[in-house]
Amino acid sequence: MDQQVIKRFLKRKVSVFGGLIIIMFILTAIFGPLVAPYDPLQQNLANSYKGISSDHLLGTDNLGRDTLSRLIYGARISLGISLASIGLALIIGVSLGVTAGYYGGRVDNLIMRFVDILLAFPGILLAIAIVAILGNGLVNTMIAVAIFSVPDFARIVRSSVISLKETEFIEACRAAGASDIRIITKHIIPNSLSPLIVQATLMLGTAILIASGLSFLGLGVQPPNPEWGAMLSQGRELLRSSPLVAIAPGAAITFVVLSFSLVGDGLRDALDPKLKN
Amino acid sequence: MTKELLEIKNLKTYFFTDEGTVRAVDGVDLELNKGETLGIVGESGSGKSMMSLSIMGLIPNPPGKIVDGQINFKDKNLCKISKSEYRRIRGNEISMIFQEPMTSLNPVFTIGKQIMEVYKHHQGLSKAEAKEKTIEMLKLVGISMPERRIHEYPNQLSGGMRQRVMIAMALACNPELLIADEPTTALDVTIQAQILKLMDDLKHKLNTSIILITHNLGVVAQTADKIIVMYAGKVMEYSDTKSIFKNPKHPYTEGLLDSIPKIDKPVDRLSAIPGTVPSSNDFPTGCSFYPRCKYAMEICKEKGPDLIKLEDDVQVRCWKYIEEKTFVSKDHHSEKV
Amino acid sequence: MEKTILEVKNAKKYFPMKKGLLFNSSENVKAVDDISFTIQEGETFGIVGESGCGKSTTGRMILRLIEPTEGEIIYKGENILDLPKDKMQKLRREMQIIFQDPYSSLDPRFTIGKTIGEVLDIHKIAKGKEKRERIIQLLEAVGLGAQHFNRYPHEFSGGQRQRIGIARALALNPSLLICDEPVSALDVSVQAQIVNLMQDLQKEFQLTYLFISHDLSVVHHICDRIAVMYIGKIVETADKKTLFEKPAHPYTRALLSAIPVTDPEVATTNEVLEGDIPSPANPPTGCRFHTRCKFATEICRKVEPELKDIGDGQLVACHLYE
Repeated sequence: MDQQVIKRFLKRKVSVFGGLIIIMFILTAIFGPLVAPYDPLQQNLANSYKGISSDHLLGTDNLGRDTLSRLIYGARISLGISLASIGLALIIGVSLGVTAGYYGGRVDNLIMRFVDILLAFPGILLAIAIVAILGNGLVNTMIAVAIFSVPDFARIVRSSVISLKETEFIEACRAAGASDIRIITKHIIPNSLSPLIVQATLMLGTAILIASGLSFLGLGVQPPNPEWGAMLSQGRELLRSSPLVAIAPGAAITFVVLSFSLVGDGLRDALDPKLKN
Repeated sequence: MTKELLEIKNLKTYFFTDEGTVRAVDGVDLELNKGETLGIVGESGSGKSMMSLSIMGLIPNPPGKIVDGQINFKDKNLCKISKSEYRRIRGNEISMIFQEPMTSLNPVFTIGKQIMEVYKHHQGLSKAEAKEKTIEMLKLVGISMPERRIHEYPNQLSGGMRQRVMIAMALACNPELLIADEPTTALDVTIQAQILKLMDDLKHKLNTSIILITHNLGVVAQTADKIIVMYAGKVMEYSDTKSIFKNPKHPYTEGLLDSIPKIDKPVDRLSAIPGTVPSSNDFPTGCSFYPRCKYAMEICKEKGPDLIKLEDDVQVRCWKYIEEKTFVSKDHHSEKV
Repeated sequence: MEKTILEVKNAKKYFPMKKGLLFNSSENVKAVDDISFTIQEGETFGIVGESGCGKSTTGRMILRLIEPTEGEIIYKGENILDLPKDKMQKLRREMQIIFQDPYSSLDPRFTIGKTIGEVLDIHKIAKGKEKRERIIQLLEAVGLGAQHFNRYPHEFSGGQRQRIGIARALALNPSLLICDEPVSALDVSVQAQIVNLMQDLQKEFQLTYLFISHDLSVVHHICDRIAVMYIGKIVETADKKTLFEKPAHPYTRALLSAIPVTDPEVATTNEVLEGDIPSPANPPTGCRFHTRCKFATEICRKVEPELKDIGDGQLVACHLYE
């Protein structure tokens, strides 16, 4: 069955392309320190405002820092934030969704109204509000992005739990005396995995976007750390003198977000062929 | 002399999927006269529903395609006509009712509006005329208080009622051919009896030809004139209703009849057909029934038999009879009929 | 001497109906409304009825998959509704269920071995090699084999899946099996195999069956005693011979005549029943069948008839027999 999923996914060329880009970025993030030609924080005023050259492939900024190196280190931070916050959101969202869907009634009402409240705020606004309360910085950005992503996961899981709960194989488990924990962990969660994987992939892109947005506004990761949003913000002032400082992180964000989106779409088609047509 | 309304010759509908070619309908011939009811009996994957979709021109393409054969409906080969011509025939001259009426009725329109639409669209009637006709038709299919019912939505009706509405809609244009695909399978037994009786009454009243597709032999026993038994995309037996129930020829038909518990003839143990229905992308070579057949011979494994005529109205696809015949002719015995 | 294995006493299940955004109305869907019956050890007791009659709810109440609103379910002398959790857990080994839909009754992500093994794990019956042997033994009992151990449900046909479902139910060595329409979703040519298998297993493992179905011919074939249900009520109970030879309740008679006969030469007696099955959310007053009954009189519209013995252990709820 899983082989067929892979086969179907490979048929969508754009998604495969998106996947390759993501893999490339992830590898860059992992092996960044080995690849990056310079220390991203190393200032060298003598070298400032450099254009493209063999020494500095993407030029340097006003403080003479190598843009390529900053971009590579930035991949670590941006992808890191996105993965960590989506991981956190998955844990919280799945637990909330399962609890609401499986037990129903008042618990369900309580949890879902809370989720509705979160959903009522526009995404970036919610994230700003959370950071405003918690204060800025790397960890708080992660938390903000995570909370922003929780409602989507909770809703998806809840709806699949509700439809799964009524199936006969779950009834068979209950008739055999299986505990709720066993039913939830062994049967319900594995069977609601496909929509979750799709959503998580799509959300990874959004998370990067939100985190960059926060940093761009100065609420997220603080300079001089080379987060892409922060880089973009800083590059804004240098648009005339060295436009690459802004263009490079902007392009990186665009590519990664677009790629996650393409992969997510591809996964959706591959995991649920019924949705097509 | 009755006239042929529908003649199907060597119809082949294949599906081309990732897993390979599915021969859903594999060389089916049939004839249907005016006013006749033909029962098509088969289990899952027998191709019986694909038959009806082929006639209706509703095979999803891709992956499906009618690769060979003719569907002659009143001197016209339906495989050859244009899409717009097909649309005119569909609903007008050939209608169809389905197993689950809820999915074929539009939930956001009242049933009155949906039936009136058929009259307005196909017959160009005015609104008032269409309404009058609709009420008449609903009365005909046994819906009480049709003047009130036309303002109701499909979800306000019970399953049996919905199926009656579907029938009313299908019959609205007085089609010459009605295809009913498992029309009673989703219904309760007492409601099933109502619908079958209704279809029988209507047939006599309107002289519509009916193709009744079902997996339930009991359903066709009382309503059909002729019966086709399908298995793995092929016609296994084609016979008039009386002979098929009294004296089933094909081992599959025989097995099917034997495996149904009968209240008037109780047995301690049912005689089951062993094995399972072959999945549609993995039909056996040779005769598709041989792995489950108690009469299977060497030749059955190697080569699929042709459909041969045993009597006037009885055709069967089985080596048992072919062998017998050749045996008889070889030894110059008196010819058996 | 016959021993009673299960007794259902005045069982009711009302589902609250949600109406309106803010207020839950006090109206209920009376899925099962005060039914009582007993099942003897070793017999096959059938419950027949059409959709919405409450037959499946009854089966699930006995297993406490659905908690009854009221009533008692007495298994071997003990009211299981009073049992504490740990005792109920032990009792689950005694009663198991087979489902209608062989496609949704198996977890698509579990191999067959794992599906059956899980039941053994829950009750800590066997481990390791012993567990594997037990599973293979069960598979063989239902006509499958060790070669199927590591396969997934989607590799099997409907009939084979139903066999797997039966093997899972047998894993705990139960005494009572609730069979909820076990052959209705199967191909005709496969139904007989499963019916035969169930009869063989009944002999081999001394099982008692509660056989829920809408198909009277199958019920006739397999059951010893039968209860006919109509919108949450039992309208008639009798042994098979009596019920089919001299059905008393007008609804039973209508059901019998509605069975399509596989003989074109039998003139259709078709006493076709008029009208639709009323919704259990809003059942008719008095006798629930009176809206479709041609014998209905004034009293039927007003007074609900009680189940009464009319001889030979035949119980009927109908004013005609008073």
